[in-house]
Amino acid sequence: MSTTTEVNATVQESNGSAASTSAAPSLKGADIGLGRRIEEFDAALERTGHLYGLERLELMEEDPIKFDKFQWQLFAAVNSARETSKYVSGSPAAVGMAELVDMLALPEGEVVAASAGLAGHIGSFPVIARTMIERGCEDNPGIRDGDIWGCNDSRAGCPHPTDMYTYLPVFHEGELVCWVAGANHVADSGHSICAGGVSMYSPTTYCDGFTYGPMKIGERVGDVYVHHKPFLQMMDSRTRTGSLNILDEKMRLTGAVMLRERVLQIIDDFGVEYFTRAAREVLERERRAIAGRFQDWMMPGTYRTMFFRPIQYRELMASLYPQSAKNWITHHIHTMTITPEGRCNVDLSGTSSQDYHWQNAFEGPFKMGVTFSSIGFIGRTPLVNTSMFHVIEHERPPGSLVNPTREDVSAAFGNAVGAMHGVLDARTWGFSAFLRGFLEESYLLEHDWELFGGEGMGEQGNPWAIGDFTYEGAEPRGPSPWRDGEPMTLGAGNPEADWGEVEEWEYVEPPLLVISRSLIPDFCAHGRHRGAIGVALTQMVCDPGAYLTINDCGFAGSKMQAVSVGVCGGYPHINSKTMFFHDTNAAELAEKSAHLPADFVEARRMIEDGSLTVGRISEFGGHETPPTEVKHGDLICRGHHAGSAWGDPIDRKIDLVLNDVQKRWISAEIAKSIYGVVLSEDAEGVWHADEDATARTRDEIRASRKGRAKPAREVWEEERSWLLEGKHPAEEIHEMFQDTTSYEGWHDVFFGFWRLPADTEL
Amino acid sequence: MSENEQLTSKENIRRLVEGELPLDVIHEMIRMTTKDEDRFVKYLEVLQEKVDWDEEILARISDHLYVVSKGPGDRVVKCDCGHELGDYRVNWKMEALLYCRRTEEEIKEVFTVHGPDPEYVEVREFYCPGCQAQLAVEVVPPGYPFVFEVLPDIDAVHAANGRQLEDAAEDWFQDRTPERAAEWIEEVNA
Ligand SMILES: [Zn+2]
Repeated sequence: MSTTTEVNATVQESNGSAASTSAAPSLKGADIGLGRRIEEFDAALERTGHLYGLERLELMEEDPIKFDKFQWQLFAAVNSARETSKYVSGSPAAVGMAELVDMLALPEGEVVAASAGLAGHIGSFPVIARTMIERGCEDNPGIRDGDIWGCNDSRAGCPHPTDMYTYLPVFHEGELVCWVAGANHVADSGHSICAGGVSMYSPTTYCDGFTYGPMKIGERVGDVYVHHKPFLQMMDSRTRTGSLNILDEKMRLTGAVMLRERVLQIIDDFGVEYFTRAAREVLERERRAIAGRFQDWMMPGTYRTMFFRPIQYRELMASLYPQSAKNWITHHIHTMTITPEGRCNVDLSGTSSQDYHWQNAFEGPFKMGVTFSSIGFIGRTPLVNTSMFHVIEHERPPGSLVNPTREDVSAAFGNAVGAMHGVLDARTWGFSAFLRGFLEESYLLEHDWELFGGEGMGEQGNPWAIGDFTYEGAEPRGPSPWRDGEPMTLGAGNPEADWGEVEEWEYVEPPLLVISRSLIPDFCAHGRHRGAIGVALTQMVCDPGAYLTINDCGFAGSKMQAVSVGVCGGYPHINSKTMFFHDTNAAELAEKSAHLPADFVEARRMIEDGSLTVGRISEFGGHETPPTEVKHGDLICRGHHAGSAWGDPIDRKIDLVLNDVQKRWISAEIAKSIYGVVLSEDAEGVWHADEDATARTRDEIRASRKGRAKPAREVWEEERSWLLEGKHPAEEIHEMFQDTTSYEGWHDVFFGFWRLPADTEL
Repeated sequence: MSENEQLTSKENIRRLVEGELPLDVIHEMIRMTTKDEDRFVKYLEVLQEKVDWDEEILARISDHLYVVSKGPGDRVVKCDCGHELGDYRVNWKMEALLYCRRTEEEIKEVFTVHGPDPEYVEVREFYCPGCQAQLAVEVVPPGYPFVFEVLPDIDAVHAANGRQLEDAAEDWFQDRTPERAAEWIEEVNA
């Protein structure tokens, strides 16, 4: 038996450095020179401005029909892998909503084609490939034909531990020609606090749950790919949804194996040289298309957008995680410059620092998250690919929460941070296209993901857990300068907007009976074109067994608006809301077939009129909800997806307001107070507008604005004096100003705007 | 006129701006593989015809706001009502009217059903001093700088449309907001 020293010596030698003697045992696999290839890729781009240094797209120009055949075969390969493999899974997010993706990447990690589905994952794969070089994977354990690799570690490039990747190196005559990968969001990844992989209560990385890779998780035996059993056993024991996760693991492998076989056929048909060159040309062509959109559709200039996000850990973490027992307000800011040459540079200086909370986004999670919005707006193409990262550059200051440098901060949900930053990008692009005159391309893409997790012990002593994707599947489309926002229209995370079937969700969440999925009247951002009307999901808890806890999170789970600036005088995105009504008479009402509330507004009304009785209500500011216990008969009322508006509400066309009121989306009171539109209902229930009264009311609104407003300069003087006196409404704001102005670029903007003496202590 | 030229005719751009273009026509515009190269020129013409003042529009920066030329070396922000808000390199919000909603009651009036927390933020509504149009809304903590939403690179966008502006110069694409703030301090001190 070896001593510890001997074991270490063996490990070092097997790293396979050139200096080691030929007799040293080595795990080195195929000699693929991955590090060198990536260096060459970077150098060629730097030198020529073109991907792979391709100044001409020769194959495409010389035989466009052959090229077209080639690229549609790639498209078909990734999509058929997804469409077939999803049936291997057992989770509703995968089978019902097709929340998975299959990808084809060149050896350097650049994704050439991704299927529909969770296509945002392209942002992660190049980071994973580069991490494999940094960690010496080529030398130990070696990369070989027939390997199955897996990863879900955010520090290695994956979005968050609940997004698992299974990928294979594809060799042709001994050479690595590409990677094929399957990825999906599993139901749970074993986070210590939050079930369902939606971890907004995450004090340190040691709570992050089951994280692994990049590592070998299996290999090909004969013609069959076989998972290493210990890996599957770990997945089973270290996550709450082991059996679903193992099915998902097999689904990802199935997709990757199908894709590998198809790619090898394509290589046989076209030749390996053609395959590599043409795939590179696809990427360079797409890079040019994206740069062209910036150049031709957008107003060159500098834009600023931001959001703030409270984190409320002070009481909750106090006894177990003292390092994390505080409240924060984090600041997330984009100063974007679109150049006349078609570059998009985003400076994130002024974004808050990393800390003991959930909002730490390493490179892979950040890029994956922003990609959701980019694909839908600027990167749209059938062949979803990574070329956009060579046009759009995010400068992420080291030490900030978008570029963490510490080992111990949580990396459990960085893709959520990235996704929220992607919204800032896409909104700016929509606005910029409007300024350039391309109104048809102009809309606010707000990737309004909202999710909840839950875990419990059923009546037969069976532990179970869930990550629910209902809201994530059907997001609202933001407004344009020419139309309103619309609910349940798209999934930025998944191009096929789909809530999944109620019954299918109820099957995997048996104690959660869906009472309502409906629109909530007046729950929208108001404007010339209003935001999408927010959507309710109301559930009643039925026979939860020994225990059941639910934790909610999402894009708009803020107390400060999901985005801070409205567009052209419209109001920005409304905060989401989750309310738990405990100890209610809802179960009795259900037994009597009496009316149950459709949403939290109606629940409050029913509490007031006494028809709904409630023992206690849980609310957590916005709706970021720590695991909250629910019992039989409790009601869970969610209101999400009330997106941003565009323009001044009193510029709204009277007919549009009339239609809103007729459809009961907007009340007549709000029509008058916000939109200045005076309406009356006739005996048949048909609404009519009074144009003269409307003109008068709108004049009154203008007059009242004039009456209550001050010259901005007076507010500037007032708030400047508060800063000088150190007067802030909340301690968290004070700390946020101090922290964010420690970053040079934002310091200059902040101090320059307020003309504060350099020694001002914020 | 080709089909695409008809689709993106100046009249269609006008109807798009006015919100009068049918959805199916807009969808056709979205599906065009290449856009009309003179879109920006047509857009500015359409916008110019909408306003009843004469200064040339160089760019649009909001629903109601434009950057206009008042002669060589003089480019200002102008509302469609005619009110002017100063050099476009300075955040125009400095010259606007401002109302801050700071209480729950004030916030509830506009964030119906569910609003932000006044412990953390104020809702800033910027109005045009001339026509009281609501030009911008910010939901930010008190003490946060007014957000400079866009500084357009006007020389560049006109150059991209084949036109060298006669007063083109490097210092047009510069944020001059801090200088304006410095002037305010000097005025207070004087
Ligand atoms: Zn005005």
